[in-house]
Amino acid sequence: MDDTKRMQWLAAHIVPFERRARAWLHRHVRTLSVADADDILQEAYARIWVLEPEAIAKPRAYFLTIIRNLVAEQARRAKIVPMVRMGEIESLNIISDEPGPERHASAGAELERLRRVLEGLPAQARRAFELRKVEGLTGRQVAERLGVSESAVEKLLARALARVLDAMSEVEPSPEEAEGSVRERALDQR
Amino acid sequence: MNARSTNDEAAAWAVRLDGAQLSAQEQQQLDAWLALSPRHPGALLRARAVWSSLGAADEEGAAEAPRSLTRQAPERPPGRRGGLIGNWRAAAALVAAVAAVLLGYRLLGLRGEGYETRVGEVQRIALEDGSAITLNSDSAARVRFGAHQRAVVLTRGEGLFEVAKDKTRPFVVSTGGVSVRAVGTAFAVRALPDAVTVTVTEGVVEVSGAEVPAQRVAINQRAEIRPRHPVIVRSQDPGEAGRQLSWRDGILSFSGESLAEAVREVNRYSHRQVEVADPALARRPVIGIFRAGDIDAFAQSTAVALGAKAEADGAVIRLVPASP
Repeated sequence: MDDTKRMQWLAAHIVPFERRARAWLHRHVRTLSVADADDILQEAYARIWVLEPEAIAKPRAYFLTIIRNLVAEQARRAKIVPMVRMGEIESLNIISDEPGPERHASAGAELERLRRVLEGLPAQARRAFELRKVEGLTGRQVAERLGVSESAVEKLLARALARVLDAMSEVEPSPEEAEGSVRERALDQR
Repeated sequence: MNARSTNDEAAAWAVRLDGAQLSAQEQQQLDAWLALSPRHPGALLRARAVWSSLGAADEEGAAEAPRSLTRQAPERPPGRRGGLIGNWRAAAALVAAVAAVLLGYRLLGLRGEGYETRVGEVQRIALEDGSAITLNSDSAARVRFGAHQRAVVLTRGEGLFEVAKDKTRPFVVSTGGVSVRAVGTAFAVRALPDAVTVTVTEGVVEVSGAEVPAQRVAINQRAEIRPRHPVIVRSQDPGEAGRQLSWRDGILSFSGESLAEAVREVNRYSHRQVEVADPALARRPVIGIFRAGDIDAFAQSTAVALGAKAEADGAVIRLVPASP
């Protein structure tokens, strides 16, 4: 699989799942700061990147396994203290990869979040983002439309993307995560 | 560096990589930024993946990320916005694809892969460029392949490096303040507490360091490098180098080394250790071929050969002169 396809694979399978993976982390790991979670998530992206995605039948489960291993590694270095013992973490069942109803709920929640982020942006950054990502114009076309340089457009787009990345890091339980956590807690107790 | 500014920087690079091709200067800046923190490669990857996932129009449904991505895919029919622009878009997509390949390469390289062997273990590691590392017992190495250099840090022990030819990216092994530079060759590097040895079995390497003047070491030569000392280069016959590297086949071979040296070697492969206290015995020459890790066999046969006694004492086997 070439790298463009791999990036698309990440975009399709992992990015939509990131918030739930993060929620899982915050539920299971005591004293986890947002920065710790960012570290772990970023490293998890880096690790899954080097794998052949075609070989991964259950991307979400796999991503979560990587995250659990990272938690175990960090716990060994005493950076963070997991709430459950490692053996228990190892034996936990993980979220299904079946695209069930919660995936649509999750997509809806993601859209809503994205909308809120965009609303919080300065008008020009929001416009640039919409032209580039919603209308599908190129950077140069956006620059022509807005009457600014291409590098100025890149700055606007970067600002929009940075706020999206920040928003994804926020700890804020949403309904579908609450649903997921009930399921996982039930599994924890087995 | 806090997460927020990492996100800002990662976002700037992700957007930049989605646009026109990087200039040489930008490429250098990106390389430098990626190398600045072990978090940066992952942060950029995440930013690029999120950037890719964005872009579904609301009515299309954001869950359909793959569909939205076809917007930027090269197979998109060109010309919808006019031939020139269509071609430009195809070119831009190609550039983006090339940038992604370069980036992936870089991400793989800068993260660095760590390898480690336990006592008694010998491991051969195939690298992405066709080179291979064989790590000897109780050794560790870190591999970082970049655009301009294939870098390996031998953090402990000994490694045999079989280097695939690539003139544009020298293969550099560093350990203990010494760098061994090769283009395509085979050599072994061993980190000792007070020195580094380099044995070349194919081609030529260049040895250098902060306190070591640059020195070429060629096939069938062995260099011993100590800080603030001139590099000692000795020639040896081809069989000799092969014998010194027989450990990669799990075999230790001695042809007249002192017992002290032979014991130091066999002890590398075993938790149980041989000790020789008697200086005269320690100087006696050892000849023979032994299986690495089979320390009892070594102790018993050298004891017989040298007229000594092997006394087992827990984790230690003492070789002592037989009483007259």
